[in-house]
Amino acid sequence: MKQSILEIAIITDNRKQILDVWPQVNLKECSFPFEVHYMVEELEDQNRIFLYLFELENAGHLEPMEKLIPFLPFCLMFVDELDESFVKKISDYTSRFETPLYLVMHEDEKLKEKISTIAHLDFKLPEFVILEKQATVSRTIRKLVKNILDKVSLHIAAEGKPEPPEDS
Amino acid sequence: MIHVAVIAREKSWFDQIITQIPSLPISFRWFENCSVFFKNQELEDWQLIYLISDRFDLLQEELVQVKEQIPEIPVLCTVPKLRQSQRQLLHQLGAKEVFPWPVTRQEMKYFFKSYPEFFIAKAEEDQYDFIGQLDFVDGVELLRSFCTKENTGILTFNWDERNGRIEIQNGQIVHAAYRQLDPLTSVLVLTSWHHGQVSFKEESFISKRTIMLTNKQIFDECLQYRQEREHLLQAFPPEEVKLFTHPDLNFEDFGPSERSWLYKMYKGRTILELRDLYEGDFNFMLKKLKLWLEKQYIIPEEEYHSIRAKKEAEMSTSGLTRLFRKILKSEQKEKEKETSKEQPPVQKKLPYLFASFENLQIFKSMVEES
Repeated sequence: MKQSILEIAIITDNRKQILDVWPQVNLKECSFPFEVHYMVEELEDQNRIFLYLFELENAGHLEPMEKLIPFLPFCLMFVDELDESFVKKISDYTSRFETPLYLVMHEDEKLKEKISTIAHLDFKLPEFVILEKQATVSRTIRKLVKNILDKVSLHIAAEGKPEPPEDS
Repeated sequence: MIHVAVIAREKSWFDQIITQIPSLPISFRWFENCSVFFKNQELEDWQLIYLISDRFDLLQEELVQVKEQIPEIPVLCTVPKLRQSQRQLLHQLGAKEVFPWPVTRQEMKYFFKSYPEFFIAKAEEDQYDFIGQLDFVDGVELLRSFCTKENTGILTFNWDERNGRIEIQNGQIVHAAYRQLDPLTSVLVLTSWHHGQVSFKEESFISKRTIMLTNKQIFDECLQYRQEREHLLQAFPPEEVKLFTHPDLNFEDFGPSERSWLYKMYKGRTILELRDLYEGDFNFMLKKLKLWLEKQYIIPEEEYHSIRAKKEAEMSTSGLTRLFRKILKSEQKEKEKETSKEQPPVQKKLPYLFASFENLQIFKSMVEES
């Protein structure tokens, strides 16, 4: 049986953000080949989802980010406060990577306001996904990944698969 | 000590109320609903019952129940969007005072001041198991010392008008409240205070657990919070140097809260003064200040004085020289712009190389099935 791994990166500069969303999350750490923090979601038949945590401003994360992010299907970023540092983070990411970035929003009373503000910022970003809290960490991760994969497949259906660059 | 029973369906409403009330010799206890309260009625000699609800009909029912059982104790009521007729009805049912939600600090203060006996309460120190000043004790170490023993009770933090509390059950931190911050951030902020008073009172009636982390994880968070603050502080000039707002800054470009902070620095403030002025999560404020410092909205004392001196010297020169200088400056700026246009910063953008989209479909079906 062929097993596969789905790798995703979460761009964050605040580990607390992750703990806020998933208080009981089991954060793992590896130091080789890169020093990376990650979470693992085990699916059936030993298939797995790996979620890496990267900090844009952490010099130690620069190398793993450059080596990994181009080969990932997409990255995630949680939206807390729409302030200047957030705008800086997004422009920083979009100027460095072409890998699609999905903004994950919490379902709260400010949601509409946040969406319209981000729409005005005019970044060429893919759509937003809304974080639906489920009973367990595992279910929340699965639901989130499912929501994004839905969007990815819609995107492919509409525009076709992005062509790999010629010079490799 | 005056004992007040607060009956509120949501614990957060209770937290919001008690963290707003100025430090008084009053002990508040939370009950989820009337039946829980009646079961534990013997716990204290209650002087006041405070009912909080988000719906008028529920509040009315609770008020009737309380007044039937214990008509002699005065009852306070709080509910959002009160109409005049509803207010009258509550008074007819026996409510002592009715506040619309949200209750402000001023309202609470006036109400409690109208009860002179609240202020004539006996020496409060005797009522606590521990009382100390944060000026001499490290907040985290203090909290740690309460957690190692098999303690159950409430650690109260008071610093002027600021009030917060950390609840401990059998040595485990279970809940904390400070302003409207989330419980974990409340612990981080409260333990980082350098002034104020801490008191501990043993209490068996502790609220539900809202902080799911273990004590070790919480202390690790505290450590991380402290390290983050130290890291942020490195970006600022030494502690004794005052920070000023830039003399050319246009205050109207900012929102009301940012403007008020910038205005506070108009006459210069050291970073320690700012720390004591800011009531919320100071690391958050430090990030903002760091950004302002980078953008030169705020500048260190020396730079400020040199800019001021330059400006004053300029004002004292004749109008004609000022005009010439202005023209020369604008020419220079244009030149600079042209040169910068010629050499745009080259930043290599990494391409998107992911190709196995079939795999994504497989994963999608796997996640769906589960």
